[in-house]
Amino acid sequence: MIPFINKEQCSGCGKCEEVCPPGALYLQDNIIAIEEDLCEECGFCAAQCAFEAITIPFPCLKSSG
Amino acid sequence: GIPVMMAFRQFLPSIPEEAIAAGRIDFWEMCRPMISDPELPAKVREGRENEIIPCIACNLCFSRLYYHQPIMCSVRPSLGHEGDADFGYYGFQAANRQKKIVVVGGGPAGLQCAAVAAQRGHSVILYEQGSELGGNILLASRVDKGAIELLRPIRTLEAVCTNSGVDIRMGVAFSDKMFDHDNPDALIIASGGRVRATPFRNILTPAEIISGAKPVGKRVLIIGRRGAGLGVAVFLLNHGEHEITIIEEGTKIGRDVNPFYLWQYVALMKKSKATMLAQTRVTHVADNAALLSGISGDIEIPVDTAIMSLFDPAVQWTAGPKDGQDVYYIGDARRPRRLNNAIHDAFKLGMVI
Repeated sequence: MIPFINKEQCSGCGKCEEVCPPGALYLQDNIIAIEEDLCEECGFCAAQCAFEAITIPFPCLKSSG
Repeated sequence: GIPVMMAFRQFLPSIPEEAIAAGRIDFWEMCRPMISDPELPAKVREGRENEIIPCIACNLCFSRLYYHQPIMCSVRPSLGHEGDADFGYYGFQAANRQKKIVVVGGGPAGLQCAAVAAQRGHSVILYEQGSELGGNILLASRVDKGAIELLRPIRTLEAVCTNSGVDIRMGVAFSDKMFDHDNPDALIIASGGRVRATPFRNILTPAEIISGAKPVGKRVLIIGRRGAGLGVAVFLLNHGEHEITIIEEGTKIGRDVNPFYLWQYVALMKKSKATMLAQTRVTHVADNAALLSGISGDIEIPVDTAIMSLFDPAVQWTAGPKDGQDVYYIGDARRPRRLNNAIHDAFKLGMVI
């Protein structure tokens, strides 16, 4: 359940980068990117985002097409 | 009289014990020191003070609570996971298969990873090319007076490594030949980040500034407004009169600095009339000037010394690994972040390697 990043929504505020416990998120050209090997799938990034640019693709949502 | 208990940065026994003996306080109160090491009182009682995991007052724990998120500690990754045997709070279980592990770098990441791996039964060699352990913490510890306490967790990690049988080899720069000779099962690169390259000449690094290796003129340009850049600025302002211009291509100053402390650094910048510019990059550096380009156009500023404070990950190690040999990157070598990331990367790799 690696977070999905919607680049168009991302404002580059970097709040998610600040809260990410393992430091997996980083701003690149003012858009957030993720180092998947470090992601602990805690979901704090999605919870923190005021722009709905990060979402967690939970399995039940995936199956709804 | 009324019994008095006091906390406030009393992180190791010597100060409170002296104060209690002199009758100035009656109790040593501890919150943060018990977050970084709940075993602190036991370790004092047992004469194992050198094994106390010391609070460094980074206040990561506080700031996590302000985000309404689970608490974390920079120097103790097992915080909150004491019930999970893999985190080894009550002692690590031996690894399934003993491996020969080489760790390159004696900074916080290298030391922490070596400590955990050795406690799990692996045979660990740690190489440090310098004459002192600590990596970039050696620089951070000199930024201002209180920062010397940042070396305390390095001392503790050194003690844990030594007690766990880590073979620490100082003054040795790791090389391909050594890799072939040692033939480890796993190679862990914890050698820190590299200062970002620029096309300009005479750009100094934070290490050159803080070690005093290079002279610094009055008018200083610092590229990068993260913790490293702010640290260089604070160091310079503590050691002389400087006109500082500090720039970054991003928007927010001190993005990676704890808000608890960031306001102090910004206040110091403002008091010393430093110029802080966002969304600005340097397009040219000459002998005594620099050309900056920002959203409102280009400006030329007089500059005696220019300093690059941004870091990139380490160069990838491609020469060594054969089949069955794994190479890992932790801490700034993997991607420059903060101390808590170095320690946590390292601890978590040590848990599973």
